[in-house]
Amino acid sequence: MYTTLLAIGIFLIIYALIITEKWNRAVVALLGASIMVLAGIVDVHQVFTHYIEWNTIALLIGMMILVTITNTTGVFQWLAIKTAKSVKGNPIHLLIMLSLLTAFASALLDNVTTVLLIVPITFSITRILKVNPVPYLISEVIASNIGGTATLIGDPPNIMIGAANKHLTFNSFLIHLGPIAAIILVVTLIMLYFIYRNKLMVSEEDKQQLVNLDENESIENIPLMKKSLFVLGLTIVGFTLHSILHVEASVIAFAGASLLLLIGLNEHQIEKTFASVEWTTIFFFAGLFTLVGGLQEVGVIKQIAKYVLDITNGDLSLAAIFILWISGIASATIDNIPFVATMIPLIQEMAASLGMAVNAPQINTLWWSLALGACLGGNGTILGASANVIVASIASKEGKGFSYMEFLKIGAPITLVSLIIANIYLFIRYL
Amino acid sequence: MLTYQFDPTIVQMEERSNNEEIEIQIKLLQSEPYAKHMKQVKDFFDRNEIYTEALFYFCKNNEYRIIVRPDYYVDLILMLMRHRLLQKVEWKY
Repeated sequence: MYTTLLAIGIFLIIYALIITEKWNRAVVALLGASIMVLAGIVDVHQVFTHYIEWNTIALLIGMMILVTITNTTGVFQWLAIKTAKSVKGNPIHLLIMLSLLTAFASALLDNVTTVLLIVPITFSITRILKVNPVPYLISEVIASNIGGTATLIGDPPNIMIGAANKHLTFNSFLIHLGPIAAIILVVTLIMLYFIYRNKLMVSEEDKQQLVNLDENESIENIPLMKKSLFVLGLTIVGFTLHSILHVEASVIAFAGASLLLLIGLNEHQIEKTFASVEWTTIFFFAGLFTLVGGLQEVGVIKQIAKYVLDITNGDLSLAAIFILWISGIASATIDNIPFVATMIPLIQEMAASLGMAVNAPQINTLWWSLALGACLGGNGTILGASANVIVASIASKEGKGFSYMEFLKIGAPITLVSLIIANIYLFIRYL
Repeated sequence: MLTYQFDPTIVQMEERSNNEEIEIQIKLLQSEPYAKHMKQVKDFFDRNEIYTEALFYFCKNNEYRIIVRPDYYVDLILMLMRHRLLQKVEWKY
């Protein structure tokens, strides 16, 4: 009993410290993990062999390396300028197109990476048009969270769910979450259109300035760009085939990254690329997995799973809807990564309590509910997802900040509509 | 006040400013090696974590537009000097 209370205490304190964002979240998570081990709640061997989800970590590192190298070629800037020129500087069409571009990129790359690529270009394009960048930044973050919902590699919650469930392949995510993400994106873009269409004005002279830009000047290194796009394409094809090849998505990502490092970079550039991996995110994940492992070790997750089954009377349809809305609300208020890290073993325990396999169709519905709730809920508030926090802090640093309320006014209604659509989808397709 | 001079056979420059920012229009009359130097100036500002200190717009026919914040104006001028797009830089009081 003492160990259980200690584990819960450590978990809650660390969770609270992460939410306050006063200290580096990776350091806080690693501190919590260390305390869990030092207190004897979880064995270090178990941590490394059982609790840390290496597939999640390897997939993230592999994709970070691939994107870092591709970004140095200037291809993303080229694409953004080309997109902006295609709408001839019309501000509301530009907002829709940049949001679409972000959503599409987010489906193939993780959200944080995508917004880090699109935000600098957004500042540049909106400045030349003399238009407020905030509506664009907010729309891009929202589109990024919706686009990321569509695939296994699009959003950290999906990466975690996919890594914990070998049977949920890249194609499963695409088939089950792709269509609903596309519908929600269309509805969201319509909402954004009506919210912003009368608030964005650009003079003809400034539109002409944009049209005069030469996007080809963005391309820095054509041979490397060709290699990067080839390897990135090959990696994505690999993701779609990973279940047929019986290879983990993380291995595909690592193989792609290794190939591009080998054929595209020299020794010095390789060192720089390794240094540019977002190690904070990686260590944050490792710490969280250990923290949640501590809770699993003392049986807390099992108890919560039983409680959820009790209040839903063991009805998995009700449990799916419950998980969707709880995940949506929780993810809107706290970062969805620690929440999903806690929910994964909980759903596994629910399956075990009902004597069902984790890959049973009924249990799969719970996984899709969790993915939809966690990813879409991230749009609820500025704190809902890592991408939101990062964009808000960059915008503030550049003197173009937006408040919690400013984001909430746009994000909350969109999240509510998204969750209602997701609820209807789950009901029609699975329940 | 920081003043500068450029070689009119290599580059044409025009500057406009308001309280919030300074805009510099540049036209290179000799592409080689100065177009490459312009990219090096841009790369310098791309490397840090501030996105709006100096925004570079590359247009056709070796024309460039740079919008720089007043607090980074001196850094920009010094970088242009370093890459020989300017001939002389001087403080005048």
